[in-house]
Amino acid sequence: MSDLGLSIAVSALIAQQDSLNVTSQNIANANTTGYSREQAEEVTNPSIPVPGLNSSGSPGQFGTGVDVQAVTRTRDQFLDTQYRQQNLLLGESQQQSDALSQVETIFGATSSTTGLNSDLDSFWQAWNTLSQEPENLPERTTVVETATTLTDDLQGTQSQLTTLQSNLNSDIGLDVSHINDDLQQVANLNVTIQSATVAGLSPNDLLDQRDNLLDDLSTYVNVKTVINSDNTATLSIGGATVVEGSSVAQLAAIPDSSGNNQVGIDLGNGNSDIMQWSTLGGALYGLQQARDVGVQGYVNGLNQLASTVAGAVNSLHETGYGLDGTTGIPFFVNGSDASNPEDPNNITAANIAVNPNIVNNPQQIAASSGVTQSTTTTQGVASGTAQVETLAIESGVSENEALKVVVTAAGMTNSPKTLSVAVSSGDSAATVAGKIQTALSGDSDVSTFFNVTNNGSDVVLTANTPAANDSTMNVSVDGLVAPGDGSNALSIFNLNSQNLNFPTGSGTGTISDTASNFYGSMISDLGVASSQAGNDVTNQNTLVTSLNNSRQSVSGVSLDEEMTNMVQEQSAYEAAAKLVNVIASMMQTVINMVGG
Amino acid sequence: MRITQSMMANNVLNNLSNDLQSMQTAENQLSTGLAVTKPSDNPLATSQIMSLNTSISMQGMYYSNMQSASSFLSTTDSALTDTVSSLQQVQSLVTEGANGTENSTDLQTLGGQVNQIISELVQTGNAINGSQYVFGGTQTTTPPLATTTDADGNITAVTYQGNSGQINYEVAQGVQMPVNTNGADLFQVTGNTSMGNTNMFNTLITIKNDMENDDTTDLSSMLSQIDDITTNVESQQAAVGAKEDRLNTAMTRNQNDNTTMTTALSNLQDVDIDQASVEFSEKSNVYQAALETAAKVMTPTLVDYLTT
Repeated sequence: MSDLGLSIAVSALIAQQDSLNVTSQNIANANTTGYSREQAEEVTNPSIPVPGLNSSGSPGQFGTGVDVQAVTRTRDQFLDTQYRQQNLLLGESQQQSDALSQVETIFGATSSTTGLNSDLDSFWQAWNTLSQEPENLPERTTVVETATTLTDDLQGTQSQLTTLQSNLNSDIGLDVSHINDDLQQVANLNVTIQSATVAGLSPNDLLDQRDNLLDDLSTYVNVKTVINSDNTATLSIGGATVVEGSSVAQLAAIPDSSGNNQVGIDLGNGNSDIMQWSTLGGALYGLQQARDVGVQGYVNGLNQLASTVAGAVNSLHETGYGLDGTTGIPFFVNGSDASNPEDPNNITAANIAVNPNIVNNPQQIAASSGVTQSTTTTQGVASGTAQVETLAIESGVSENEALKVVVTAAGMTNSPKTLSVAVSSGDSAATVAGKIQTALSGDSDVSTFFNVTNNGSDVVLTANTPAANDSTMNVSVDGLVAPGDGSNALSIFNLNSQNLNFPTGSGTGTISDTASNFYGSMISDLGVASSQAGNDVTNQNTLVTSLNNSRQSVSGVSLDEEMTNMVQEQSAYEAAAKLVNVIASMMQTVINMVGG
Repeated sequence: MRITQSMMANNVLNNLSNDLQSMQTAENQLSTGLAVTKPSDNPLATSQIMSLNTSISMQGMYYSNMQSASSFLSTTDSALTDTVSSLQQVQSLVTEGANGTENSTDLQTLGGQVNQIISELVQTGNAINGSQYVFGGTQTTTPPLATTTDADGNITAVTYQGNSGQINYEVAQGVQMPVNTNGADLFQVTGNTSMGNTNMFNTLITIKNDMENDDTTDLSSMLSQIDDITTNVESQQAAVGAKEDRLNTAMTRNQNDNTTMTTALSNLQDVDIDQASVEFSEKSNVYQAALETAAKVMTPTLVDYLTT
């Protein structure tokens, strides 16, 4: 009888010590991330039947004490799943929000003195000032300066955006290797968990570690988890199994033709299957969306702004005349096309530049709308034939001005020869032709070489001697530009309030708006997108925090609770020890009786 | 719900960080004085602010355009005043010469005076505003009036080298004002058929020659030509005056518009200091309360009350 009592007491002592160990472990890990509180499951030992006087062999049951059968962790898998689902969305919106707020910083504030908007304002205003004093170099230089500021800022903004894109791109690569790391660790844990489970142990701490990894993974990518009967976890991404037991299929960041990373999974056949971004989800999807949709949208927008403004300014500029008579040159060029810098096609925000000829010589800025005459004829002349050049005068003139007549001919002294011919308002074509004839005949170099006649609307130059060699001769007439004519500059200024046709993002159709409204609505869209993304993050964060609280509520360590348990366990231990004491003294009594 | 210490700690941290964040927002608004510092603060206001900034900047440009126009017009105006007074002098000289009482020496003197006035008029006609000749159309860099002189330096012919180009200043969105008075119209150098052959300088040179040659027969008929010429200059001057009036009105309107837009911008962009200060102190009270609560909530556990 006392044997049984003693062994019950001993089992109690052991069980309370075990429980106290569990309590101690819980307290120690009260602040450990991902730790699930453990419970010692104390179970009554099987009773044994004891024959007695009144029981005639039928079992009178005596308990045999207590045993700690298992140490279980308290965890709710359903809450884990929910937490990971929401964490996935948090990861996605966090990346988008971060990228958009960086874009906001890049575009600068709404300030009136900095940013592309004020650059555009200054640019247009410089044209306006030029229109008032087109003969002055400082006004011309101001146009070049403001235009350079505009192109520099467009290029700078664009390069900051593309740098952001390439950072996002390399973040995708970093995330992929982080994911691979996690997957490898899950596979390693699978092995130890499996062997512990097979041995009948419950590897709580390993399970906690694995759950931690799954939590971490859920930030980056959408992983489906299945827990098998041997406690191993099988993970799959977008239907492709990435972890099964100890085997891992690695993810890879594979740059496409334009260097943008795509994510593929190597399924062991040596080929990486490219995954759909939307099935990846999480931070990866968020990064890709930010790179290819979010930031790219503003890259496109800037390109559309640059190419449309450049196109509109160029088409007016090419019709105008510079102070030195230059015409037909573009104002903006593709600065990165060194072989053909004047090719105005394919101007983007990244390559837009002011025509270098204009930068070197601002007189070429076409502030003037034009001149009344512009005729050029060029003629190849074969050796031995008489050189005849016919210059058609197409119209009369409506203003007093000086025409610039240039004669180039092989063999003529002082070629090319430039003459200035004064014409008056109201002169007919015939009068103009007559005045040009008189001027050419009056020049000794030209009249020595050519016989100049005039047939009413054409000036005909016939060489007195046949050409010695194959040669080219050229006669041109240009009206001189009135230096105070700024009407073309004013037309260019007026582009600021005109609706230009901006290509849409989709490439079809156009948006008709002024340049500053186009830019303004782009920034306004950015504000909406960024504030929405920020709200998404806040909302998602609230959700994730509250789910995490629910998890903590189940799995977290409450010190109060542990202390209570400790007191209980301590008391039970003391009671059991007391019992041993009592039984010992009872045995002493018996021994004394016998020995007495 | 089961509450654990780490949940409490996390909550306290979360709440404190939220409180700090809203305090930072309020502090930022107060210290910059701006309610909108980045597009996401208020996307709608952002686009309005940008377009108002552009409008205000354009409005400023139009105002300075009007000041330049005003300067151009007042240069023109004073040149025209000088021209009219010169022509009036010629008129009295011609009247004096035509009354038949002057002897040839007197006429020579009168002719000399007319000669003087001709060169004054050429100078006036080549008036400059800044760096621009005001009467040469868009030929602003060459003097509009070129003279041919004889051996004594007397002007024998005046030709117009300008053109009929207009210099337009944009004084408001889409509103262009021609600021220059065309020399060809003013001096009638090419002759205007509707007014007879009243080329200003040809007439004056004829008068001078007649006087110097003691030939008074045509002088009285010249009087009506001088009248025509003066009337023409005066009507050009009236047009300039009308433009100056128009500019003054437009400048006042421009300033009013500017004030309206600046107020609108301020309403959109600037922070209401009173409101923001109140909000800030509310938030800082909340934050302090949160800190005090946190300090009280965090400390105690059962451990504090168990005695060994």
